[in-house]
Parts: sequence; structure tokens; C-alpha cells
Amino acid sequence: MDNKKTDSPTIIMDTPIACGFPSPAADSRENSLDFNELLLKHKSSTYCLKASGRSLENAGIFDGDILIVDKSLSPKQNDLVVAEYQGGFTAKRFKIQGDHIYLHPENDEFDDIIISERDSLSIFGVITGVVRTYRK
Amino acid sequence: MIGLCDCNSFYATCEKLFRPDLKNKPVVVLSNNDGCIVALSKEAKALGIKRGAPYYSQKDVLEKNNVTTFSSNYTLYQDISDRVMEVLKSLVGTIMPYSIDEAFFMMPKNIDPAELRRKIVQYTGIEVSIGIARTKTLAKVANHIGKKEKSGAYVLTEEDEERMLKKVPVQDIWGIGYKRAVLLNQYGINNAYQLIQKNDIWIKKQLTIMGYATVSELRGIPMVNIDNPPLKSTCSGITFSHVRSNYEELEEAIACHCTNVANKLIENNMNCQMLSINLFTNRFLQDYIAPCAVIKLDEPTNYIPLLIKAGKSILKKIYTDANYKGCRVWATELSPSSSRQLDLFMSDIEIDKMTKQDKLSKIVNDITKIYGRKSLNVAAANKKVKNDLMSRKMLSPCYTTKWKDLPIVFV
Repeated sequence: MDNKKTDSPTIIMDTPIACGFPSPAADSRENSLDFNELLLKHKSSTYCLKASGRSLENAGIFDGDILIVDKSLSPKQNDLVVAEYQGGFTAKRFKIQGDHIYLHPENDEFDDIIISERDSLSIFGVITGVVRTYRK
Repeated sequence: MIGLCDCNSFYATCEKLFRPDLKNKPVVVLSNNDGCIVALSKEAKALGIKRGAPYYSQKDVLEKNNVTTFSSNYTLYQDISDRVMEVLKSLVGTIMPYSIDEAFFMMPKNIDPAELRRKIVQYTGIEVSIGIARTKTLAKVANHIGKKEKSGAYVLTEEDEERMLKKVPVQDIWGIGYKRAVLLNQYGINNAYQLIQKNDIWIKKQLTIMGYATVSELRGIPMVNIDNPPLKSTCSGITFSHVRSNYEELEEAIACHCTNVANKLIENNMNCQMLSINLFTNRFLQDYIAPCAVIKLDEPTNYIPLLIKAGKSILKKIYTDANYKGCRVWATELSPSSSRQLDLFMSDIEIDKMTKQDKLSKIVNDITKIYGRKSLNVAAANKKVKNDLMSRKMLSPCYTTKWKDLPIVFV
């Protein structure tokens, strides 16, 4: 038996032994900000889509923005939504009035899309956020 | 009660998810290398196109009917599958995924199956059907019925079992293969209800203990345990983009697929002791051949060079000059790589060699985990094979996993 080994205990330090005093803040360390936590409330039902066009500029959505779309939410009055329309996806403000649904643009140059039969409209999801970067 | 959630025409549904223009339109998905049709949307099924048919034989029919055709985009399917599983888990608690597009779960009492299904469909955009019954095998039956229900869900109650099982042909029972079904038919057993009337001894004799488990499940006694389904076999294969008869080319293909199989084993911490190789020519030609042979390895292994060596030795035996359309490599008799029993008569040098091989396998695994499965390759498995792997001409974008591939929404 190698007595030397078993007799001397190993001291484990979780702060590196530098020349100075150990950081008093080392115990208070937390994980840094996580964008997923901020932007993805329901991770598995959220998809990202890329915006193309100018009809929601007054709502702060611009060409090239990445839209965060949650499929688990049911659209409520005035939500920004992604809907299936004429074989493509379109993003507009969702408005219900009586039996009609209005897909309302936020730009005066565009007109409302009026859906007279509520069931014929398929909503892909509700926009919960926008991601935009400025310096590529 | 046990539930089974199964995605409908999963690959085709994934391809349609970000293509509103394909709503209610026929879609098919091709296998690796665009070889044959592996998935069809319900509209494509209605056109009479069959799963498994070689792509080139269907090209005209697809074109004539405006069927949108996709190469298989496994990156997309896996991501969507993960989402469906996550959503299901968040709604029911514990789930037992069974394959890329189906999972069993314990059905909570306070949840309505139709409502559960509606939520999964809304949250993920993927059509699923739900079957609920006393056992997994019965849940499979229930799911089958659910697919035809408007609600997409079906609860098979104990009282209903007799009536429903009478409508299930034996070849449709989960766990009864084609051969067994033919055998049962010869004995005049055509549906599931007739099968469960037979006595245990007869069933064990005709269908082995596995078949007995299936029958017990049909009787309402849970027997099939898939909580942690261990990998039982793994396989890699391809339909070549061009017919091959050259020995060296085939050797390369075999080496490539042996590598794939070994990587799958390493990922699952498994060794295999049996390796089979199968070559096949065009099934629709008269001189169709499909030579196949198995080799038993001295020791269970997942060591790439050893598997390639074994694969090549089989090829040597089965090769005859013919126009081969594809090849397959199987690894069977798997065992956990940690529990390998050493041969009592192995020399120290051999044991040392094996330890080194284990280490190398582990390193390969670590590297491929970080850099992806295609990052490391054995020299024998090279260029021409790679060309084969890349023949995916109608590949859809990776909508959910690559920033540059995001679906477009018009604003």
C-alpha cells in the first residue's frame, strides 16, 4: 500500500488560486441572459418566419425581419397573426367584426383583406416577437 | 389506459407544413438517393400511387397528376418529430417514443382524446391520430380506427374489443409479420378475434413467445414493454443512382454503409455480433437476384475497420457479375458495448487491441457528436459513394433548423 497517497487529503478549491484575494462575487454568479427564455415561451410550438413586404411598417415590422410565431396561441382581437392566404403566408393584424374577419395592414398604402366565412381562414399562428439585426 | 399518438403520412405532412400552396394537393417523398417513394400524402394515395415503388417507374404518373415530389429531408422531419413529442409530453406527462412519428403514453383520465388530438395538431401543424385502449397492441388497433374517424381519435373500450377485433385482418396486427399471417391464414385464422380464441400452447408453438406476447396484448394483458426500446438491429443501405456491376465500386458502397452502421452502433453504445450484406438488382426485371449472406464475428464490436473487413469478406462470397441496383448492410445480435464478455482464451495482446479499438470508437463518437456524422470517414468509403449520398435533387429547405432557410411570410 502506498501510505503517502491515502494520508494526504486532497483540497479542492472552486476559485482559482491567483495572487490576489478570491473574488467575493464568485458565489453570486448566475447564467447570463438567455434570449430563448425571453423570446420562446412555447419552444416546441414556435416557428420563425422571414417577413417580406411593407404592409405592417406602422406596427414596427419591416422587410427582412424575423417573425416569432407561436402556434399554440389562438388569435384574439388585434393580435398580429400569420394566416394562410391564396397559397402563401401573410402577416396582418387580426380583427373580428360580427361574422367577418379582417386581416388589417398597418400601412395606408394597403387594403384590408376581408374574410366573410370565418372557417375558411386558416391561421398559422400568432406573432409574439420580432428579431432584427442592424449590422450584418 | 394506454394511448398511441401517430402522425399521419408524417414525411409528406412535414413537407406541406410551410407550403400553404400544397394544401389538399398530392405530395410524395422519395427515399435516400431519390430511389423509391417512401411517403405519400392522402391525396397522392388517392391517385393509386404505391409506397415503395421505384421513383423512375412512377415519374410519368407523378408528372401527369402534378404531384409535388421531394427528396427526403431528415433534418426537417427530425426537428418536427422532436416538436410533436415535446408537445405530446407537455399535455400527457410521460411518453414512450416508438419511432420518428409515433409515441405511446399513459392516457390521463381527465383529458378528452379528441381535444388532445386537436391541440397537438394546432400546436405543431402536424396531423396526428390518437388511439386509446387497454394495451399497446390494442392501442395500435384503436389508432387505426381513429385515423378513419372525423375526430382523429378513438377509444377502444373493453366491451367493444370483440366487435372491433373481428374486423382486423391478422396481417394488420402489430407484431405479426407477413409470413406469420400467411401461416395463420392456412389454419383458417383470418382476423384478430379468431386468433385470440386459440389456446396458449398452440400460439406459442406457431408464433413463438413474441407472438404469444402479441396475442396476450390483444386479450388485454400488457406484455410488450417498450419503455426503453433497446436497439435490436440497425441497418444502412441505398438504391444506387446508377446501376453498378463493378466489384470495386460495390466494395466502396459496402464500406460506406458498414461505416454508417458502425456509427449508429457507437451512438447507441452497442456492439453487434452478426453482420449481413445484401445486394439486389432491379426487382422488376426477370433476372432479379438479391444475394445475401451473414457473418458471425468473433467478438461483439462496433469498431469501424473490423466491420468493413467483415462486410468486404461477405461481398467476396456473394458477388456475381450483375447489374446491381442497391445494397444493404445490417448489424444484428446487438449487445451493450459496456457489457461485452471477453473470450476466456483471448491473449493479452488481443485484449489490449480491443481496448484500443474501444477507445478509438469512443473518439470517433465524440468527434461526430460535435462535427456531425459525415465529418469522419474511413478511406475505403469514399468519393463515388458520396456522390450517391448527395443525389437529393428535390430537397426542401431546412425551414426550422437553418436561419437562411426560414419560410417566407408576405407582409
